[in-house]
Amino acid sequence: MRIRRRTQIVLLVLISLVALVHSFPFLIMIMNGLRTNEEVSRVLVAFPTDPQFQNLPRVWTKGGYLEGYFSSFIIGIGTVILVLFIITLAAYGIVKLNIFFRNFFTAYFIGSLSIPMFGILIPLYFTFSKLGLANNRFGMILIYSPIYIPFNFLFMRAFFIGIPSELEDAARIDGCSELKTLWYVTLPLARPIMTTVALIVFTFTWNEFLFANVFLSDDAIRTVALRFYKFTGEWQSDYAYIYMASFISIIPVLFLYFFMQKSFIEGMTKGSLKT
Amino acid sequence: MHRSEIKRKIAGTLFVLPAFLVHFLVVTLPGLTLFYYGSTKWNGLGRPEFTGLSNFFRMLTDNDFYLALLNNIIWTLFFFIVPIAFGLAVALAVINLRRSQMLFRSIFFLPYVMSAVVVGRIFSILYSPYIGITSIFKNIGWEGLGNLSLLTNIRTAPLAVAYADHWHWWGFVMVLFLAALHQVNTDLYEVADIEGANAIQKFWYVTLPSIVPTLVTIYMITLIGSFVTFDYVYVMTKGGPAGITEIASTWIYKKSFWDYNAGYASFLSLMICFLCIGFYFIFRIIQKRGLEV
Amino acid sequence: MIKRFSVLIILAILVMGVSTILYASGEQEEGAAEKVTVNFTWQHLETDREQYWRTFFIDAYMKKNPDVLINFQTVPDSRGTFRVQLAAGAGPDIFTMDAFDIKELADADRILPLDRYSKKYGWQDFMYEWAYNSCMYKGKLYALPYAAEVTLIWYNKTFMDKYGWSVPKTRAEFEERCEGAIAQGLIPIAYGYSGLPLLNQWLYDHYINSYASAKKLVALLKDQIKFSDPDITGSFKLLKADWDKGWWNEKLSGGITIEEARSIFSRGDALFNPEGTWLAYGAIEFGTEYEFAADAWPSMKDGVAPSTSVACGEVILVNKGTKYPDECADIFNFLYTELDTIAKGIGYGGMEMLCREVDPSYYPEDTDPYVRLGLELTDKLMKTVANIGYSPWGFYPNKTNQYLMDNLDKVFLDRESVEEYLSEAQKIIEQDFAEGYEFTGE
Repeated sequence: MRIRRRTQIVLLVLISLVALVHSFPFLIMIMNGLRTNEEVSRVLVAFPTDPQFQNLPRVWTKGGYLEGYFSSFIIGIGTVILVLFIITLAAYGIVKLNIFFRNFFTAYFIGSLSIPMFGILIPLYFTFSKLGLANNRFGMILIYSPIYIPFNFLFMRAFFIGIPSELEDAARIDGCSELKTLWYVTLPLARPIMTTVALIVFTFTWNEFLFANVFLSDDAIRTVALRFYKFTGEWQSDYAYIYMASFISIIPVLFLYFFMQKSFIEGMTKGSLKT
Repeated sequence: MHRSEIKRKIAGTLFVLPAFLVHFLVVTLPGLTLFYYGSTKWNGLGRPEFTGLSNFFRMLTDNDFYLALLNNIIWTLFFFIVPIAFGLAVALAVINLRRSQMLFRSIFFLPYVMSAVVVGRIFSILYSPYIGITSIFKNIGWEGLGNLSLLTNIRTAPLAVAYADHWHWWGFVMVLFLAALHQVNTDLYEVADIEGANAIQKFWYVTLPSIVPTLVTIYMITLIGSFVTFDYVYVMTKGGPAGITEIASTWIYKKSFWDYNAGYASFLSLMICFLCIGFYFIFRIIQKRGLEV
Repeated sequence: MIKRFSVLIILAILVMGVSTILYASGEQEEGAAEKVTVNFTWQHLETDREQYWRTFFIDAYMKKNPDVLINFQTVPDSRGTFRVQLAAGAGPDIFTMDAFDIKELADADRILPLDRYSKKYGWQDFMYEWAYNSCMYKGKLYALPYAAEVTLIWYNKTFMDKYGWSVPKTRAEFEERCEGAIAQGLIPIAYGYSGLPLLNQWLYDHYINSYASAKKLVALLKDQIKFSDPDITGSFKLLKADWDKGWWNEKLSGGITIEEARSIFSRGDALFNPEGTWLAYGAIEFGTEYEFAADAWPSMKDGVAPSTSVACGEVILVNKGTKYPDECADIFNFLYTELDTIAKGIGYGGMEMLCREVDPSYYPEDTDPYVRLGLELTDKLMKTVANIGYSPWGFYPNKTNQYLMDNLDKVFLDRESVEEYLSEAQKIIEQDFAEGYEFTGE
């Protein structure tokens, strides 16, 4: 839609205002993380006139975030790799190859969005505990991977539908096996959506709380989300520290997001949700 | 069928198997045990005791569960309207700002990468009657607003919690809409211009139809998601006070982990499962009808 | 292409490799060292307090017993976490819950009876009788009591002195103080329970004991009277009336957390705090701006004396599936007998008072003054208060207590009347009696 310059400026102003209000909680988090507890308890919003930069290292050590980061990274990266692997295969199979029971599988993956996670918590813990996978990062990866399949399958499938099948057909005519076709033809085109899925899955894993809380009982392997929860748990009332801890909890995903933005948006753009 | 076609089909099915197996073993199979546990009386620790349909009859008289479901419905209505409105409106505005589009996209999307624990905690503090937003109002002198305690008022509490999730979620919706808007064929707008359409007509006849598939998918995710949502309520209020923010998932969680009623909780989980599967099928029908229209 | 492929393969191998290593190390290496490893998980402790636990208890034990490795953890949401783990037949070797959980755990055969260790170490000889008994179920000892506590009314001594107020002992005085507080712009009682409805136990504990009297409470728990008894009903009605007057944190308790309430109290915005001696052991930063003290909860009705309740703050349990029951029992015994080091852990505000007599000389010279206050108060009140009650978390039946704590705020928010609330409670307590609940206080 082409619109007049004046309207553009008006829109710019409006949107900037909305952006400011929208960023408010985020700005508070950063500002208050640098103030002291007394200041924060008295006045909610104020610019830190005496920035307490030492809050950062203090909260970092108090909350054990080094181990938390390590754990969360391992679980995150592991889950991303596993998810990308199995979803790409599945989406390719369903969209590009006329497999048996295609409708069943599609319906299965999308419909499993509706299974509430808290319902399967106990039976899952039961089984994993017996298998020795409960208190364990690898087990966590195994649990997280299927959970994020339905949501990301939707995107990947839409994206693959958008790739004209002539390209794959050409490869097949040239004598490529399906795997080769997938690898050499489809995947390079699918980089944006894979980046998107990777980002979404990593973020979810980084932030997941319910399952991690139940399964990871060993302090050494508890993730960042759990450490934050424990940090602000029953006995912590230093609000400045809580704000700083919030900030520490989200730094990596923030970074990841800023760096992968372009790919991420591309992935969403090309994989628009056509059915 | 040609041999190569059969080969392709087999290969394809093999491709799908890893995802299917992993998901089936880790999610569906434990989910099926809900049928078993749902028909027992079980305290979560010892041996389950088979009781048939007694959990079903218990659910019929469980008023608190229905109040929780009511909150889920309020949650759904909130999420049907507010984030969609925000997301769409901002997407429509931002799409016209060529240079600053990326910046705004980042700003609005940012909350989505924050965890529910963090967002929930920050909003809890902001809602606090003594050290939260209301303290700003008190300082300015707006006594009325200054005395608001959002999380203890029966009318505002569920919406206050929902707003925290909304703040986290609508940036994502906006990005989805933005993507859909980019797909709209700009030629259609030129045609509309030639025909003398104004902005509203352009939106209604050109923009809207192109984004309907996205809209429908978002609605489906929203509907199902509103009945399985857990994190925000749990982190911010745990369903309290006095159950005014109780939703199905927290009620079930409490039955299972606080009340030693894991059998009943399993049954309720099963009911929610069926509900969501039902919603999914309704949406499939809508989508199919939509394609025909 | 091939480069990309190999990069992916290498990455995958790396991840698999690291995961396998972590898989192996994520669990306890029982074969690796010849050490016995005991998993000891506690509920959440603030970082500093956890440090005192480690230094004066855990590490001290390990120094004395180099063959034993104690893997000590504190977890938030401990009740929920333990239940899931126990349900799966797993869970730590040593963990903590409340006394009213013992019945469920014992019935499900998840905890180890400790009678033979009790005989071996002679625990019954030196532990407080009420504490020891609260851990008994069907004639067996299923847990070790920990944290001797009494319930109190904490007050801001600075303000009380400033306005010439004595510590309230009667209902009339209590009313005067609360109204006086409001007149001076203070919140009468700082209290918040958001996210933790189990804290509501403090409230009905105070009111039942101080209005109906401990005798009536015992009669209720022995099925001699019902919740419809006018005194029992009256105590809840009075609580509701005081709530409506805004004395309980201006009716905002449902929207603020207990940390916030404690913060309100310690920074001088409130006059009273309804918690018990546990507050003295590091749960709150008293600061130096104001002076604080505590006493028994005032009488809520003429003819009933000021009251306090005794209880174990927590009980310590041994998992039935533990491989090292002897070591676990030995760790318990260490806790109760190695007073040289344990008393230091208590003195600096990490651990809590034990359910036994401890010669005051054990506590270090530089014991935190509030810890000292807590210890003295516990001792004094246990011995001098006539109207001694029994706290809900230590002595009430499981289902009833759960019901009472979860639904009290429905009464506060007018979603239920006191009568409806209590008639349902009566049904539930009858279920508890039918399932074998027995009052262990006397």
